[in-house]
Amino acid sequence: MIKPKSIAQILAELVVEGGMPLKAVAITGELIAMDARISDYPNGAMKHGSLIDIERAAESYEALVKKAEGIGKDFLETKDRQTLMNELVAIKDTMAALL
Amino acid sequence: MTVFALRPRLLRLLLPLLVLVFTAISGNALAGPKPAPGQFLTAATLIGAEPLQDATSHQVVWKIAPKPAAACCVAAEDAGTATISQYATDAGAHFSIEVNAGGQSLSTEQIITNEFNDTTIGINTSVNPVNSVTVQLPNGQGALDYMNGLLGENTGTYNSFSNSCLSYCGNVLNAGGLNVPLNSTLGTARFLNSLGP
Repeated sequence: MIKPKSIAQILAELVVEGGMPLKAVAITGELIAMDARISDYPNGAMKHGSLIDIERAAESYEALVKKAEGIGKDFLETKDRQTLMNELVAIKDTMAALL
Repeated sequence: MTVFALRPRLLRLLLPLLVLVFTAISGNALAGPKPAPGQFLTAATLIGAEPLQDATSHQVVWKIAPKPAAACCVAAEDAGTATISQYATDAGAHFSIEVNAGGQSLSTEQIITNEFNDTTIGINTSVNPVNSVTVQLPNGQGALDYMNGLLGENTGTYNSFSNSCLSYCGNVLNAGGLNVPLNSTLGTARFLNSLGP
């Protein structure tokens, strides 16, 4: 079984292997903690009462996973720290809505 | 003169022989490797098959596209139904699934077993669903077997998006022959929402 990647996994790899600046590491730590809470019951998708809302929340998370992957890839190529910081903050705002 | 007059007739006679000789020399069997006894017995078993010429070995190989399981390989008596029920708990949404097939019935749910969020599958004890949907399963027996195989087993760490009570229901539907993505809360929700209200 191939386990789908989580935001925490993607960002943790970026910290370890990507040479992330310390300021970004601090935000990343917050995002990883948020991701753990979002993935836990009854947060994330399952906090909603209707299947439609569950689907929307899960879609939102999937979009965040793709965004995190893109941010990581871009940073590894450009080493643009400011863009990295801005994107991480944007992810944090969207993740907060899933809690 | 007689020889020249006979040439076209001779050629017609000799042509098949020449082809056979050439084939034997080049190692190219016209019909490819013969199937083993019991293999490719009828045309029906070759639906989707297409001969492919291997340019390097000059062997003809058969590439066979598998037929959809529901169409060809599941006996009608294996069909069944699945009912997914949704519960509103103080903590959040919860789902269970009941499968009926071949006179058997089993209702199960995913349960978190400890503080580290390990999960297992247990006999359903949730009551008073707020919503239920029943779907036909091409392979109800497969779904029952899948559920039975997981009862009491450690089914991994809970994850709202990839290992939830709802994604477990999706896995059961998948084992029952429906096109629901495995280990996906999103995929299962999408499938159920596609059935309409």
